[in-house]
Amino acid sequence: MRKPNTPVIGLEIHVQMKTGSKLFCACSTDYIGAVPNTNVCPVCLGLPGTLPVVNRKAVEYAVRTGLALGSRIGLSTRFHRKNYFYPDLPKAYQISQYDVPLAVGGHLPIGEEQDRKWIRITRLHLEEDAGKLVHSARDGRLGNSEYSLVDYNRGGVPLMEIVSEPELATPSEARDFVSRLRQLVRFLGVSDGDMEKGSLRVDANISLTGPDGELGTKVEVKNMNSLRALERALEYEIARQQECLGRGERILQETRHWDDGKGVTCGTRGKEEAHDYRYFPDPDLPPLVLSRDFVEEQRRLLPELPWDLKERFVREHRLSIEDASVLTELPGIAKYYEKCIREGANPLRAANWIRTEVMRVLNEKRISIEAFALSPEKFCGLLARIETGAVSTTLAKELFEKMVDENLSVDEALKKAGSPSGKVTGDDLRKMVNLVLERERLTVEEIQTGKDAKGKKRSFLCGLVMRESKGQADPGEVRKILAEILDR
Amino acid sequence: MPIGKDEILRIARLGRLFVSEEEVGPLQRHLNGILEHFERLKRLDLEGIDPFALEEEATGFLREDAVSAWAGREEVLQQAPNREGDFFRVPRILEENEEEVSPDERR
Ligand SMILES: [Zn+2]
Repeated sequence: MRKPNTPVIGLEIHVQMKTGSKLFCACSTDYIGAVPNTNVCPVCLGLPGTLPVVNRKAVEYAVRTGLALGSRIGLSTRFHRKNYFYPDLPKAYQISQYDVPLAVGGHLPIGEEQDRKWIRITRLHLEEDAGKLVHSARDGRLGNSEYSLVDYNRGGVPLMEIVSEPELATPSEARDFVSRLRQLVRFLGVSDGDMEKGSLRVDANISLTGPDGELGTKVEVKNMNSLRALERALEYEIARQQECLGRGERILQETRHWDDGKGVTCGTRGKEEAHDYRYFPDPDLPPLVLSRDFVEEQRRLLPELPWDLKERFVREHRLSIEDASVLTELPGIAKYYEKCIREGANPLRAANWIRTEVMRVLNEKRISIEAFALSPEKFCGLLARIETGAVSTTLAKELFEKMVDENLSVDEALKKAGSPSGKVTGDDLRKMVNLVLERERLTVEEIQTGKDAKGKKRSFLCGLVMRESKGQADPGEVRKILAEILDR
Repeated sequence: MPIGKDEILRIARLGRLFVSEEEVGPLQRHLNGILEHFERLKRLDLEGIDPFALEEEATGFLREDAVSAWAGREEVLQQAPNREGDFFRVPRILEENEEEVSPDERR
């Protein structure tokens, strides 16, 4: 039983799926930046006499997500009409799923290892997105608009609505849940999961338990466009409800909007009729019947799930949980890292370099890893040189910049690093080696008395010479000279 | 339970339909007729019958995810009661609890 005054949070998440066409017609889903009302047709404009036909890919994506969540996939489900009157909905109903959703049950893990919590999923269903309203008031406020402008480009874009059980106890757990779900849909390749762009939208239900631990009145909070906003909105709402109850007031069952600028939630006045959606089965659509083969095919297409991948990185590559979390946040980064491992990179060094240098460049250039020019092969060439000591870390960072900017291999970058005349070789190099050995007498002695079975100390000396030469020496020549002197 | 006048008016309001005083009576009779028919259907013994039994054969056809553009958008925009450039223009959105506008004013 819950303790009194405990927050109880449930989430409803709408995820736009990355299909090319809409859920029930062949119009493009690519609406961002498109000229208003260009991706429209008689079906998604709700013109009479048209019939919706379900997009196979949208069903595949939703089934794949359901399977990844461990939900039971319904082999025979149906579409309902959710009726409400609003200009962003040209048919005056949204095609959705009601009493027989595509997937039921399942769970999503939040938290790390020892305090891992599996949050249960209530359901997952398919529905269509609505159009967009642009308000014409000079101050842009809804209430002061003279009229509204409607763009139906987004209307009919496939959504899956995923509902969690009210099992989240804190705003940070809610945030974790959304970020894990976002990670999942990205790994599955079914959505870009971008909250700012609106391809992943979160509504939260929140209540506080009463004196005997019984569930309190639910308040719905909407309009949170980032993980940070979600967390802040819930924190605000918990404090507001606690204050309300502290003053002996009742909590009103209502929908409140998060105002990110002001940092408050605002009530939308009296909505007693708003929830009368008069659902009924859509007679235009036959039941959605899937074969077991269809579902099994989707199961076969599931990639390694992000939380499993993270655990494997920790186990196999001895990464810290933090390193593994960062590397598995985006599928592209995880793939890049794994390619580096296959190229023979030292797992810790590769993790470090990707977390710091590679991700810094991605941030600076505002690009994704998919657009990152430097191949894992070339990148690993650099890591290997650091490993052998042929290149110092400082020099490596310089070389890395060059390699990224001009897509060079490490050798090409080394060549470019200095003019050929600046190359240190022959007697100059020999002098430099002697200088280094002079400073590192202890190491030399250790090598000469056989305390360097793995050759690590030799590599260390080689690295020091390379650093001394500012990378202008040839590591092979350095090793040769070192051998001549040390094995004399 | 037959539908009363209030229920008729509520349904009309939800659908943003204007129903005059004279229309309430006939609508009430009409809708109650439909409901009576469903009451009769409800009395049938359907124990053990799959509600989807007759639909299985007409299972849904799934469309491949192919994009094609439609050429008629200009025509539709032109026929809209109001347009503004590339947009459909609609009356300002009512805040809850605000006064209802009559159907004629909405145009
Ligand atoms: Zn369309």
